[in-house]
Amino acid sequence: MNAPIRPARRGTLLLFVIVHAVLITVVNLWLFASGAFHPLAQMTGGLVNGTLIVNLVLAAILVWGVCLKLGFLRAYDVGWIPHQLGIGLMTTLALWTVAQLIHLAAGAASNGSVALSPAFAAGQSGVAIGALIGQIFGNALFEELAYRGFLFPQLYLRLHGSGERPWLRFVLTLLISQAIFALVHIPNRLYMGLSAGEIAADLALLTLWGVLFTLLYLHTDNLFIVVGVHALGNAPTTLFATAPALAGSGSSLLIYGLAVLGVFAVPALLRWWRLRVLVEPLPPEAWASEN
Amino acid sequence: MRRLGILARLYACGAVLVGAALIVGHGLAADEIAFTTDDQIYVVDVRMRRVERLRPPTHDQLRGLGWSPDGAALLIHDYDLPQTGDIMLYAPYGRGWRRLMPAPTVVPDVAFAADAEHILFTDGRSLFRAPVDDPADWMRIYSFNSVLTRYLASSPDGAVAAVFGSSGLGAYRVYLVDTVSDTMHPDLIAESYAWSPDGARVVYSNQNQVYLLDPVTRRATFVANGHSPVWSPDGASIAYVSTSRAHTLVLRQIASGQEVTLARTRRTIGALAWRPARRS
Repeated sequence: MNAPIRPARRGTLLLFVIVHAVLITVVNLWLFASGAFHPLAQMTGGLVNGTLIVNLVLAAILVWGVCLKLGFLRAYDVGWIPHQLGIGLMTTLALWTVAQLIHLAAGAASNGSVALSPAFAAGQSGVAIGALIGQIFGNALFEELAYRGFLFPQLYLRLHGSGERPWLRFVLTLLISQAIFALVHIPNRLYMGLSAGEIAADLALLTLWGVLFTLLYLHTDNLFIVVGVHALGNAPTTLFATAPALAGSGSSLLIYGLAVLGVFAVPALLRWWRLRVLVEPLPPEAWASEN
Repeated sequence: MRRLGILARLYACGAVLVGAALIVGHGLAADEIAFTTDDQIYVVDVRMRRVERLRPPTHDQLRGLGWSPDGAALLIHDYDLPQTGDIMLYAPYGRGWRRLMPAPTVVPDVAFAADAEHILFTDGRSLFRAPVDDPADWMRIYSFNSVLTRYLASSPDGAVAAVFGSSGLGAYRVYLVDTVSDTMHPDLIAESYAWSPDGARVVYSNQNQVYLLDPVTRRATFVANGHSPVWSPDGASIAYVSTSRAHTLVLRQIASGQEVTLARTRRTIGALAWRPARRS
């Protein structure tokens, strides 16, 4: 049986949001802007980058320090359940493999031949793999622990009074927690040089992705699967030259589309198929005549 | 502008994906407890303590609630007096339902038999068993001459069903029926009764007090103020409706005695059913 998630000590939610906002501002507008991690990335051929280092530090300070230690939570309460790791890894690998098969087929159909993607063909595999490592062990892992593992359930436990409309409590928690997830990306988008309009549009998109990740977490009850989807969405690590529609952001959309298909649509179809063969109803007059 | 256009297209695609997830991904994960309040069915996710209201295909009153052993469907009886209603199989996550059979009376209770292939139900005087695949092929497995049957529970080995009858004094007594030998003997006075998954222990409620019973020594231990207790699939915890705190569903770990409030509702909680296995 899964034990109920504990509520964090009062004040932990606010402390978490404030500390993260301060740290992420310093990281993006000072460390990233000054290129502090470029030497390390160059030295390791791109395998170790700033994303990995920064997010490991953020995970240590915010998840371990604020959520677990100051908030009196167990690792379990933020979704860190070690025995789920194997399924998470296998799901991520399966997702990536299916995506590569689609890229392979799309590339062959579009280009007339199978070729490696530009990043791998140009000998930049270290950078591509480093980006994925930075996501899996850094950014995606930290953000999932923090925003899907910690913030969503803790905010849900704080919002009482669902009454006859439990969906309202759920929707409010979902929107507030994932809006905060989007808002903490503002320093990063400023660092990337986006205009105000672009940042606004990007925040709406980030909220949407946050909602999708939360739904994936609630449905699978396995945070490692969501880490995998999130990491591949941010760093699709496409092995083959693909069709133009599936390049760039198209490769991220493919990952998210496959995740929705695999986690939601296919199981729903299987359930429908199984229920399809349930018994036909007994006619209303049958009981009266037989009894 | 070009970047905004890309973001807008990504947003549209993302909205479609989230919409698809919300539409087909309805439901909760892992440990779930279903409960009824009058004409509503709710499910609470034990880990997240998130409550979701299901959409049963009826607005009638609901009685009886039991998950199929594979955790895919709920067995319910809906009725709208003076109509006796129907016994229905409702798959909340597949959005499917089947009207198994018209209820013979305002059926006091319905339950899945342990073999998953049969349902048990009563008409107030007799205990019936019907194959899920062919409910028309029902059979009467025991008749109670002087008691009004009211509630049902099935033991894990499938050999015994518990039926509770009014003693005429407002109290209910448990009657244990051996469905193999068709014998019955009266047991303790209780309003609800549930075997642990391994069959080694029983939890029951009487006069709004929950007790743990060792069936061998017959020693009953007071657990809490409440009613309608049910076991977790691993037998480590029970959930019950608290009478100390109104309309509150409480989870209690048997070993430690630690309690957690799972849900509060505005209406009286009727039946409880802990989903037996993880949803596929």
